[in-house]
Amino acid sequence: MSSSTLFGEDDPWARQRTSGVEVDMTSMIDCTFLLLIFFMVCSTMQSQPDIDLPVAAHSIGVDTQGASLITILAGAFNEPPRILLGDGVGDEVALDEVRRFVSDAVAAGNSRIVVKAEGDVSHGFIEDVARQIVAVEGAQLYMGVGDTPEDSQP
Amino acid sequence: MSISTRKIGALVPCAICGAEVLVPAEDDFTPARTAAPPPEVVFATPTEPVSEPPVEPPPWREPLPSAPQNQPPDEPSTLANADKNAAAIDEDFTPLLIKSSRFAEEELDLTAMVDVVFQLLIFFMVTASFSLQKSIEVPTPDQPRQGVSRALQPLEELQDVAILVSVDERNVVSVDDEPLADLSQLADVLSDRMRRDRKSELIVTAARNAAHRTVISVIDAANEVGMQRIRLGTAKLGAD
Repeated sequence: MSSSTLFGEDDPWARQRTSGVEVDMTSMIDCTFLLLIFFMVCSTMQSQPDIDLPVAAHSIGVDTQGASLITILAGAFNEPPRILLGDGVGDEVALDEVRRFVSDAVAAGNSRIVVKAEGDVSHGFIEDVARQIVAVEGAQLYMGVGDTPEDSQP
Repeated sequence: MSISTRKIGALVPCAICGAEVLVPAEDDFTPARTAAPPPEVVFATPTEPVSEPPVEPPPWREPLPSAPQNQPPDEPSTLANADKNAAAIDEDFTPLLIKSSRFAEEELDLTAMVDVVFQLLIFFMVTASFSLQKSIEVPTPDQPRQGVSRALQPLEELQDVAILVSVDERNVVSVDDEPLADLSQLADVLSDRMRRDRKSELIVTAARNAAHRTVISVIDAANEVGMQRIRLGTAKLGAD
């Protein structure tokens, strides 16, 4: 049933639809501003280092603000892996210096230690680093992983 | 009763009597606080004929007691009609409402600002990273102990209660000494073993030269099938 049949020529709504109907956008603008402030505060603009992390479908998110990161890069041919105290960048240290770094981190309140090791690093070397970390009382060890290809697709 | 400032100077029908009246400007419209309208206010239309009969006040309105009855004799008769019109509507049509309606009509155009805010919002939503590092909890190796405190459990003893997964130096994964052709089958094999043997514990032993990627894949498969406990063995295979 068309509106012309219902109201005839004097359709009061037809006149209102064409004259000065405005939508109150105040609430939408308020929500938009709140979302904008939230994302501006929570987002970080740092770029991710190029590390070939092993992928895992089942993982947990560890807040890096309250954790200490150790990066282990696979060395060149016939060279040992490199240990960096930081997320992709940092001082390169030897294996026995990891424990002191972890001790300082735990003393500073960062008990979560995230090891971001490349997938080509040997398991034995990872095990040695892990032993240095768990030797510090209170340290919690996490292994950094990457997204699976299915997770990376939008 | 109020009216938009856009109607100033226009002829509008009176909401009460229906007669056409001229909407005065706010500066021109200064009626007295009392019921008597000022004589300088003119509500009559310029095209209105002089001989038009006066507009009757609404029947529910009482005659204004304080209305001035002494018209100046030199005033035109149009003013008399205007006085009656003004007296009929002045109780609701106050200048204060006209002022508020003027401010209500002055609105800022927020369209450009909303567009910019939406652009910023989309940018931050797309580029946001919440400082979270995807991680998995891995079983920590025991510290090497010497003397009587060192308690080792042989794998044969653990095989009765746990599923043994080994990774050799060529990254070949074996489940209970049965090598797997493809690592993607590990989750299905573990699920079958859990259901068939009623085991919910996993022990991973990897060679020192095995790739860290393979060990993580084994632990991820164990998490996928819901293995309750994952332990990391330190058996030295291959080169060691």
